[in-house]
Amino acid sequence: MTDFQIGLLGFPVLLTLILLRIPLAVALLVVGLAGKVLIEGQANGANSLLKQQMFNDFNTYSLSLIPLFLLMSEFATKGGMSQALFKAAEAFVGRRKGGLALSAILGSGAFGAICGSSLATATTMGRVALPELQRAGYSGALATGTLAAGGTLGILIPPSIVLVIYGILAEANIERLFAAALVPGLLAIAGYMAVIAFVVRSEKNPPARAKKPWFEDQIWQGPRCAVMLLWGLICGALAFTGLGYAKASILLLAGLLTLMIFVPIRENKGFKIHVRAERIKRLTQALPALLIFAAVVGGIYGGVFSPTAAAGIGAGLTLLLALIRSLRSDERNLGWIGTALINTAKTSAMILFIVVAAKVFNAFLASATVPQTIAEIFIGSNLSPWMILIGMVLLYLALGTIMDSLAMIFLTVPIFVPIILQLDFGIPEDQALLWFGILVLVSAEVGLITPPIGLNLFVINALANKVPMGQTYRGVLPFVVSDMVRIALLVAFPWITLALVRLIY
Amino acid sequence: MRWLSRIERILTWAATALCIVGGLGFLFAVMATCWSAIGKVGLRFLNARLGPENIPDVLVWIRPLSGEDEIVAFAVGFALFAALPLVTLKREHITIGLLQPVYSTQFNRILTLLGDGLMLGLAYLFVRQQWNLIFKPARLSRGQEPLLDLIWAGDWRQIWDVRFLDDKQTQVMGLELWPWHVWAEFCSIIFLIMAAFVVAKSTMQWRAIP
Repeated sequence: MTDFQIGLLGFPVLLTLILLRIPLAVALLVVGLAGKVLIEGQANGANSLLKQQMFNDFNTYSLSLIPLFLLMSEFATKGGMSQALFKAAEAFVGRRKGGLALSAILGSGAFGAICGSSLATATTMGRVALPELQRAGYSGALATGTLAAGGTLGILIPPSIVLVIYGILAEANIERLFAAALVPGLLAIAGYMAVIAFVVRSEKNPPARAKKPWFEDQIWQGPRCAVMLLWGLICGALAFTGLGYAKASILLLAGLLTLMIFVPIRENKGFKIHVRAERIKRLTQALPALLIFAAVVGGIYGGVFSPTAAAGIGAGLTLLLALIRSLRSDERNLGWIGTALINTAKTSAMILFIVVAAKVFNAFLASATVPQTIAEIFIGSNLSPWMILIGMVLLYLALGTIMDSLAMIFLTVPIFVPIILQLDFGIPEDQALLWFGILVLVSAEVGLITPPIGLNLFVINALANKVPMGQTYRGVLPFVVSDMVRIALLVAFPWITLALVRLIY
Repeated sequence: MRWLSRIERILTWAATALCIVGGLGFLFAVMATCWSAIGKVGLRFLNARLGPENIPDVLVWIRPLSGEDEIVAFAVGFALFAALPLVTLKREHITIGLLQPVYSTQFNRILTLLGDGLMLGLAYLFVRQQWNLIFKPARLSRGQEPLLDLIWAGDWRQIWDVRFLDDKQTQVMGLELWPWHVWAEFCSIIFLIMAAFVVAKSTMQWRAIP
């Protein structure tokens, strides 16, 4: 038996062990170590691999990023930021048709910007927004579908734990991966909002519009839109004439925000408009969360901090906020810090144990020359690179329906990345790595909401105990369609993913 | 099996306590990172305002921590090793339970036992390999005696001077690595105990099936 054949045999054995409910890390380690012993004919290599890998990987600065981002998510969840973000989003879009659902999506996106975990985003936003959606008469399907889909923004909008793990496995630059994920993340928000707008209009019994005294009545906002467009053009021109993209983008965002808050909306007769005051108030309440996002992601994009340092700073700031909130509340119990530490430690140990196991398994595959040989087979075939890529994405989507996203990534990335790097998509190798990473991330994200095993669906359905699972499945389907459209766009136009990376770096 | 649940309670308490102690490593890592970031920004500010040569002596402490990377990495490692026993005791390692409903109860219990048994085997390997990071394994071909024989013979000089690996240090701060290896070994032993308990529990449950 050749080394390559032993390497190939590793896959069915691994899959069998996994299907026999052997923990993923154990299955990877057992197959990796046994395979290495078989190839080398002695146990020395496997022993020294085990000896060094465990200690080194648990004490690596670049891998420390995972626990620190998880800690940040835990503190952000305890800090009650989801409520403030949801209310701030509601102040801007709450009056529109399906406004509360739109607010939930915007709130989830904003919360995802300080929380790298999908489950945490779904749970936290679910607790905040679900009662309000149900109270406002949203159907169980739309309410649960919206929140399950919104939860996926937790891993899509940087910082994202899944993206960090991809970066580690594929040896891709994590800062650039975070930059590449931003536009697809914003696209996801836009897609989900479009789905809500469509579903609300097509429902037989659409939810009633919010009747809140501070929201504007139906008025024509043409002049405001014209001013915004003009501002966009001015900033674009400034970017091209030497101000630089980064500064022009900041100017654009600041200007748009100012316009949205301060530019007067024509007042109707006898209608008191408190919209500006309310928006300012709610934005101020959500400001700490937005500032943390600015510090963490801005710090990474601006090259001020390494991703690990940014994660540490983010965790520190969210801890500070959660502490302030806890001390200001009536029950001054700090037990949540212990709970957050235990949860983070457990999840991190679980993930990093798999990272160690995956590295051992990858070492076995490398010594069996499996990735290189498979890559050569694919290149030697007459298949177009695009067909291979589409096949991989379809495989991810299929696996996502039955498999945990982390497991899927650990099992496939070491094999797929060498193949992608060998194929010619008309873009440089390092950018292809980033682009593929985002495709993997988006596919993993879809896996979180595709029946039958979509974790977010279970989480949200458990919160909405009166909604049958079938309704949740039905409610999430339009969002899955939106995800499919987005994946197709990202596959067909790599520049959507890479635009921001090219702009910044 | 009241004794089993009593042992489980004690072990859960011990593993949780260890996890909380380890979790403090995260807080330490966060503090070190924040302190270093403040120092970095502060130093930039001082350099821009006063120039690098004119920073007064009272402000020289405003600078990033040297070896921040090492502090963070080891603080996080401290927490991760400490959490592994609790994850194992609670059986929270990721498994794919796709076919679980298809298998019979009996077969599922056998599979649980198999998974726990493999985990125990790996825990033993970890303990052994971590041990080899603290003490050099005996080279029997060069006439070295096994460590146990040295302890039995009371040859402490040989143990500490020759076999004990205390020569490794971190690159930037020059921190000695052996205390971290000892901590990793301690946690690995607790991990092994938890894995053994989980196997015992699975066996009991399996045998209890009518």
